[in-house]
Amino acid sequence: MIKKVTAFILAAVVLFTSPLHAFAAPAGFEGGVHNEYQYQELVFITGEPRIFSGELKITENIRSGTDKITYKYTLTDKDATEKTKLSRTVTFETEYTAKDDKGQTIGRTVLTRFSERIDIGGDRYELEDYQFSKSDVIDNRPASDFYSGNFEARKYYSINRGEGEVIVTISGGNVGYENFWGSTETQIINYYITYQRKVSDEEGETQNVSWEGTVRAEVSDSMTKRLVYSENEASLSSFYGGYVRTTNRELVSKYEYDLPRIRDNMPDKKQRVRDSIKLSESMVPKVERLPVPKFRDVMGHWAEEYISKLYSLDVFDESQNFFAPEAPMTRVEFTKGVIRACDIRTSMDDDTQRKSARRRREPPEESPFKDVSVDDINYQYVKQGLEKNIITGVSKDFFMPNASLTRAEAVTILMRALGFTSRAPNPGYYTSFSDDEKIPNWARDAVYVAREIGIIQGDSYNRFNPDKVMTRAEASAMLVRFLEFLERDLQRDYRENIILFN
Amino acid sequence: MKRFTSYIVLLAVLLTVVFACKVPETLAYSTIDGYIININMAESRIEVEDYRGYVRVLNIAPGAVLLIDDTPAALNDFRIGMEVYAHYLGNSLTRLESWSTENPGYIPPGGKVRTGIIKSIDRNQLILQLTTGKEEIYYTSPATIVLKDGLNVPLSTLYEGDRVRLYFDERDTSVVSRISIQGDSVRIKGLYKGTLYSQNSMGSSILLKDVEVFQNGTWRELKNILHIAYNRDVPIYYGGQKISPNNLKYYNGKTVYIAVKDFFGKEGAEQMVVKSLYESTFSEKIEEVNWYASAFELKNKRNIDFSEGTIFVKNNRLVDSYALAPGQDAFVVADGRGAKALASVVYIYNQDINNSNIGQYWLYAGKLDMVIDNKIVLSDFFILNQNEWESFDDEKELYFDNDTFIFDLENMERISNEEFITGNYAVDEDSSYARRQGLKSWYAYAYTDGDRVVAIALKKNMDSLLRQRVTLGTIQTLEDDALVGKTVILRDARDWSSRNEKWMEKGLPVRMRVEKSLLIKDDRMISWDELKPGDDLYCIRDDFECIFLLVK
Repeated sequence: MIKKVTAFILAAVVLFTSPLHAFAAPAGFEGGVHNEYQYQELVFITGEPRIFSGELKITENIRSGTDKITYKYTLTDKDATEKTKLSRTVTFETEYTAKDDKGQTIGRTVLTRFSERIDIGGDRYELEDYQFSKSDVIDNRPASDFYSGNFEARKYYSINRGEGEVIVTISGGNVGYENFWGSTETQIINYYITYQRKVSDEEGETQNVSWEGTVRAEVSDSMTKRLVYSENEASLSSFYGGYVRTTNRELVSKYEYDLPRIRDNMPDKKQRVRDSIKLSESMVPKVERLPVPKFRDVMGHWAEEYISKLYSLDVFDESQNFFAPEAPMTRVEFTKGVIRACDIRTSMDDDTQRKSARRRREPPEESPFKDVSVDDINYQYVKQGLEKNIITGVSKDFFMPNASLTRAEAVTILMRALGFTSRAPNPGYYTSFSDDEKIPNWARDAVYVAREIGIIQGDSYNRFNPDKVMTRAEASAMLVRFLEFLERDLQRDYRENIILFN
Repeated sequence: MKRFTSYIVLLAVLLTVVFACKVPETLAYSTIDGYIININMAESRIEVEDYRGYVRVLNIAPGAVLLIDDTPAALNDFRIGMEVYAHYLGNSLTRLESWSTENPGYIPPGGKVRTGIIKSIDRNQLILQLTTGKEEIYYTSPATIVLKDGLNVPLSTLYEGDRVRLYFDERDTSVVSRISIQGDSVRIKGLYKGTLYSQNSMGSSILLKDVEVFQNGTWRELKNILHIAYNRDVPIYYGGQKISPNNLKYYNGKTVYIAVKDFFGKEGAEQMVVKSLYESTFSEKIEEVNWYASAFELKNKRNIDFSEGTIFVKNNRLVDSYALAPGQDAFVVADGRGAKALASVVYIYNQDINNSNIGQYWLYAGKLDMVIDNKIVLSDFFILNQNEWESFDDEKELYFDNDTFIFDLENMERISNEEFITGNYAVDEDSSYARRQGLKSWYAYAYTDGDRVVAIALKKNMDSLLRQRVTLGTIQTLEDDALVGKTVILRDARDWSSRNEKWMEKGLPVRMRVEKSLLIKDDRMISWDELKPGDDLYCIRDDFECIFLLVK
């Protein structure tokens, strides 16, 4: 049998993209991990931890506002001396309700189909009932979605059709984020297992066997995109080297259990086994070569790496030979850079799809700013930035697109894109920068949060220098740091900082 | 006359300047203080009643500055009844300020978080090294909650080199309200040495050949080829210079030293040093450390430099050079030629009962002179000081409570406080009752936190403390031997030598019987079943017989 994890996306009619794609979320609620080849999880139903591994098929069906996902497992315990088999099929349906005024989405997940059968030696455990309820709140921010959910469930298994019963009470929560640069979902699942069974001994006397156990599973599915420099091995080439974007996906899991010590299939009432088992699987990285930058004036510049990375990502699409790293960055170029770096969809993309006739009937579009015309090549970025609350004008009618970008403006744009300004303290506080009095009121929250999350630091005099104009090189460095935050810092916070600390 | 004219001109100029400055200011805007009594969103208009009772209707001018608590706000953020201060020109409002926040600068409890590595611990002061490399000083208080692996533990559990998350309840405080300590995953799994063979094109893993592991004081063969994951943040040094992961391929064929951690069952590199010259190893006491010159002197008078890239290991954790201290015993892998040597690896052997100077744990041995409610008195007691038993011709009062573990080593059972108090564990040996009954006071090993007994093991006869020695090590295997009983086999063991005043590493694994020992972990007494391979131990043993075992 080819053991292979197959993911079918049966999204025949995708009217709207579901707010949560299932491409980085642990399968089911069993704490298991998988890669393209195999799936493995721990099974505790006998009172002893057993690693079951085998095939997992994931079928996903995304429709408008509804996500239906089916997991089909066929597993065995390869270390067992007796015959073992686990067959399980579960279908979860998630309905999403968008709260557009709040920029949030509420997800409700129900179980629509289940079946499970575990054969271990001569014993059969069959799932009789499975009650399940889950709900998530998704905060849709321009650069990333952040979500958190809770679930409660109970599974009832029969042992050998009436010989006994195993009840598994499940309670847990999940947190995650999803953006262009990465997505991670970490689940913490607590299982409380009660086992009751009538066993006949050799003399034919019936004995009641019972035990209780607890298991805590922490499982995380994480996908990140990284830029890796690849040098050109040949000397006689038109370029020295370029960047490769790699997409890595890894699932890790930690089970901590407290179970009775089983001797001769009987639980020892006095002794318990407390231990933990870790599992991990990773997918083969996907690689994607990116265009090679050939600016004449950035080689040897301190920001060469940042500029090259952003050029490779099409964040800067200049075709000129000179990048002018020391020239001031303009407000509109930075806005465009953020939108492109985070792959925020602009209405330009939509417009190119729905063309002509319908548009002709619509009244001519009016720019929200007097100094950015609708024909401006960057108009869509400004419009999108305004709609997503990433930017505001310098006044109601003016954006001043070509004005030089200050540090305060850059940090405010980035924090608004992340939606983190709401994490600032109640108004009426000072930041710890020595030039706090120079920080404009509109930038204070963003500057505070950016320092808290490590996007910015003070200079050697602990100054933020809010009014300092950013050069194109400095803006590039800040943008790359922002992308690293989306890719690496978030992953560490959602995975290592949860699983390794709990 | 000329002078008078010039005075007049000067006065005129001054007056002009004064009026020129003042007149526009008075004409610039009027102000109003009062309450909002109506807001018309559709027409961008508000009605303000000033404190004297006059009502003024004001239109919001385009570009007007609207602030609540000095934070930019929209008109619909204002509410009827709010007190406001406004600037206006005619009927046009140009600035509107109001106040709403009850608790300025408030953050929710735990709303400020810092993540990093504990660089140093000094009582209640912690120096934290943030991920950015910056160092910050924080303080703990008696109310600080400490969690490790999700469980509440005493602060003394903390080690230098531990990775922690500090939570604060206020924005500008440096007093930590909660500390979350990373669990055992912070410990290094091993120190490897091998020949760098290749790396994958994505720079996420390397292949090593002829790999050896540092075990029992020496390099031992591990594997012919080893695949180790690493990420691009892993520091790699060559001859004291940091090298870029992109350039690692130019060092293929060189020997590398790697500190390896376990990441969900897979090995991952945490720090790497590429050997540049020739290897020498020393197992010696550090005599002096000079951090300014980045060098230390060993007791054998050998001077060794260190760099930012040197792998320092203490308590199985990667630490900073500031963890070095004169008097420590270390295994040093140096890279150099002739008299010049740069440390690639410094593995510090020292370990104490206390993880840092926060802990006040002690081990006492002595004769039970008295056992009364919540109190015992030891006479002619010994205290384990710097790994050696020190005797005192005195009495020592210690206190116990319901949470104290009291264990009778003769009957191998835990006894209750009442049994301890009423039993004949401490008797007046001169009394006629004791003489008649042939009773003698028992002896005890007491593991205490200050004067509070955490656990006490009782036995009828005193062991010879002179025969006992302190041994450190990591559990390699646990064996329930049919002949000798429950045993523990230690790897990387070292014994404290009183004569040399030095940790002496053992070349071979150490086997101990733990049938009759006081086993302590996380401030409580545990059973042999609860020990696990990989646990670091601090033990007192009389050859094969383990007396006291503390899981670090």
